[in-house]
Amino acid sequence: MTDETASLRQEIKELIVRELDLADVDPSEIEDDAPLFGGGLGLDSLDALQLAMAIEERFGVAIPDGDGGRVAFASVRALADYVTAHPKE
Amino acid sequence: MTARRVVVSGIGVVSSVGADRTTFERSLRDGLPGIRRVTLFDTTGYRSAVAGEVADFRPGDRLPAAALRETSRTDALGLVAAAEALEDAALGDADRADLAVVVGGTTGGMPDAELDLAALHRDRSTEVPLSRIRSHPLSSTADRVAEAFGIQGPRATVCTACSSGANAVGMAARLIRTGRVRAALAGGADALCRLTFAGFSALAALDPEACRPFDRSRRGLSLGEGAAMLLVEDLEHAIGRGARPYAELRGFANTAEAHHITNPLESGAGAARALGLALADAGIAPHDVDYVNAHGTATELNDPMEALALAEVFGPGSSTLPCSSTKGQVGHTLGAAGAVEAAATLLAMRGGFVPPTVGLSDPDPACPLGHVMGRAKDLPVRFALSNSFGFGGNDTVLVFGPPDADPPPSATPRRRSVVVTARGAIPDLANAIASGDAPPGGSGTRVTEDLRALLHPARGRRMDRLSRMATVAAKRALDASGIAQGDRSTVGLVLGTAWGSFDRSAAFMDRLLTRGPRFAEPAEFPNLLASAPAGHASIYHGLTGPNLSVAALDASGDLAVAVAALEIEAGAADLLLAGAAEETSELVEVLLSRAGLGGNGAQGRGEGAAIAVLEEEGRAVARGARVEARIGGIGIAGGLPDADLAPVAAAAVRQACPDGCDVAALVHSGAADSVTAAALACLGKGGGAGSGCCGKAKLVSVEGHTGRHEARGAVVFSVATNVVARERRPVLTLGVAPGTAIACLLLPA
Repeated sequence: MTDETASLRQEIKELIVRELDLADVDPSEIEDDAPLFGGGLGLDSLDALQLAMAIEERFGVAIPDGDGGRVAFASVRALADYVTAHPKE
Repeated sequence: MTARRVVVSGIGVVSSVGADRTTFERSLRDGLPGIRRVTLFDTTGYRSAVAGEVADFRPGDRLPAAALRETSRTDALGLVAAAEALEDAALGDADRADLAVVVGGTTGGMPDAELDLAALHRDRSTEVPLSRIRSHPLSSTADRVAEAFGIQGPRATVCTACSSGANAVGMAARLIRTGRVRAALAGGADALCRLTFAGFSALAALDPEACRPFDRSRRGLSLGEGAAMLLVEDLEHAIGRGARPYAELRGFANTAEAHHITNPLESGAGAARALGLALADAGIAPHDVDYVNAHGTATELNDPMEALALAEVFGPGSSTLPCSSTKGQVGHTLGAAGAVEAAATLLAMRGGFVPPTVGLSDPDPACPLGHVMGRAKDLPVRFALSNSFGFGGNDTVLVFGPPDADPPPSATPRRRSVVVTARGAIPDLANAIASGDAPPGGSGTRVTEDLRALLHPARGRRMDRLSRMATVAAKRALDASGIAQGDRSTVGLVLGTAWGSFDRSAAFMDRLLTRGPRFAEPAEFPNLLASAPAGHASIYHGLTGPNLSVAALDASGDLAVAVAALEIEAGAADLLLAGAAEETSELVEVLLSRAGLGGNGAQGRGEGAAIAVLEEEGRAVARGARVEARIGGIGIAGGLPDADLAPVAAAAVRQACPDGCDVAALVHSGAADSVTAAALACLGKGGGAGSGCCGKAKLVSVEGHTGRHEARGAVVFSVATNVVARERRPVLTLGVAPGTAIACLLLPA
């Protein structure tokens, strides 16, 4: 894994904690492959919307509604991969 | 006690399919669509460009210029509807003066002020027109209505998000059922604004085109604006003056889902409970119901949830139960919705038709109901329901029936005894104030405790600071009450707040204008509604009883306690948390001082939250609760907004203590000497200052300790309870705001 990928994932973890106000979560403790939704973080559909907005704001990448979005949000790794695959225009 | 039945004898409506009742009714019959391109502001970048806008709204054609002075668009919508309802009811002048006014809303003056708020957020020295400051608070519409029509009865403003209008009607009915007034003007008003448009857009809740309730291909809601006012009246009073009521308001129920701040409880169990309670209140069976006016927002989640709830209550018959959503024509009119849709229901009952769900052509199989499509269906409608299921899970159902039906159980007045069994606050000042400690001086108290540390991190994470304050105060009250965690589900909450999350609304608007709609924060928007603190507190503590947020400027806390006491007295709840929360706000202080509304003296605004546990006496005693005080009487009086408050205070005190009372103290929120003197003068038997007893009453003002924040009425109540418990003598509370005075007599247990 390149440094770039590692730092992107870390940045995404920090963004998740910050944007979703997960005050008791240490970003580095979020596993790359842990399910973001329906998992231990207790995130819901409102969080998905907030996260999508924040990802677009930070990376210029729009996450689609519906199924496309679900794939991107599967895990931190999935999100990082999506961001990398859809560079800001 | 004589039965008190509540009827509707006047209707006024302003909507996107008719700015008057007659046109509105014709549109309902014809299935006229009313969701069109928005012209009030630029919708570029939002997920939708359409809404139920009231096109070409000319309030100046309907009202004198004086009535529209310093009003917002929301106020103007409400005023026009009120004028029409009053005319329709043909009330005499004396009856009009005595009316209560109860208005539901969510945006208040935001449509007119939102650009100013954004500018103010960037630069504190921004000029903001005085009219916009006066019309910004939610309570403005009720005050403007009272002023325009010379109405001087009790006044209240309700915010429960999408069910505000319905709860306003319910509250008015409560005032009539408990004998406080013979008639009331009740309803809701809400104008379109960028803030709510951006909020719902950020939540991905908007259909890009006109909404399609219950349709298989629905994509979300359409916003709308409008107002409806109902003249709600005691049946005997209506008959006595020869009025012809549209229908009887037989029953209503208000419950909380305690589930999620935006999403409904998908199983429909919460809504089903409200439906069941409302039918029981009305004394009718599901099979009696001829028509349901649905909440029907056309969101992915609401429509099937509502169908499930109806199926649970109505059984297999729900699939053929005539049903329609007015939102297909007028959009979601938010604070006005419950009232606009009640008006539609009433017109349908009188006219013998079921309006169609415009926008529906292919019903979703997950929503098996007796949908009416296209044009209205002629059908006699004797009994009907109107549903409103609000953000934060506030579920309210109104039940209407013909005035010649047998009286509902709700008509039999109950006058139960209400006691105070616990209190909680942040900061906790009651002891210090009651003990007579010197006020600290300075700019009013601040909450310095770490609110996050006082709440569970995961369960409390969505809340903003104001909601945390309210939730902590509620937690302290619940912990002090001795009610076990598992026994809290039926507990309800009535919370007062005047300005809500004002600074954060300004920040939201600033971000919207500088970054664009795409970057409006979805998680922030629900917190900006005045109903949010009560919603969050009910979710956090699992409270599914009645849930109301009320506003009356400086008397917000007093109003919340009074409303809660009336609910329990009338048998609508057994246990309610009641109080208020208000946050320090640099922007509010800036605006108030510019408007010359900074209050007497140099006292700063401060902040705080205080909540009392009010309980039905028998229940409290049965569970071994420690009773701190008993509510001996409540007075809610109104006057014209710029009038002298002394006679209004006197009227409130006379309601609370009709036979006079020898009180140990008068605890108040900082009322002027002339006002407290007038209040005390009413307490002597036979009236007049010469009776001697009231001269010994201590005067205790909380303002020096709390600051001038609008939740201090709840601290007044807490201090008074403290004094009663210590001295074992009666104490009177008094809270005042422009045009309003609220008094409560507390007696020893």
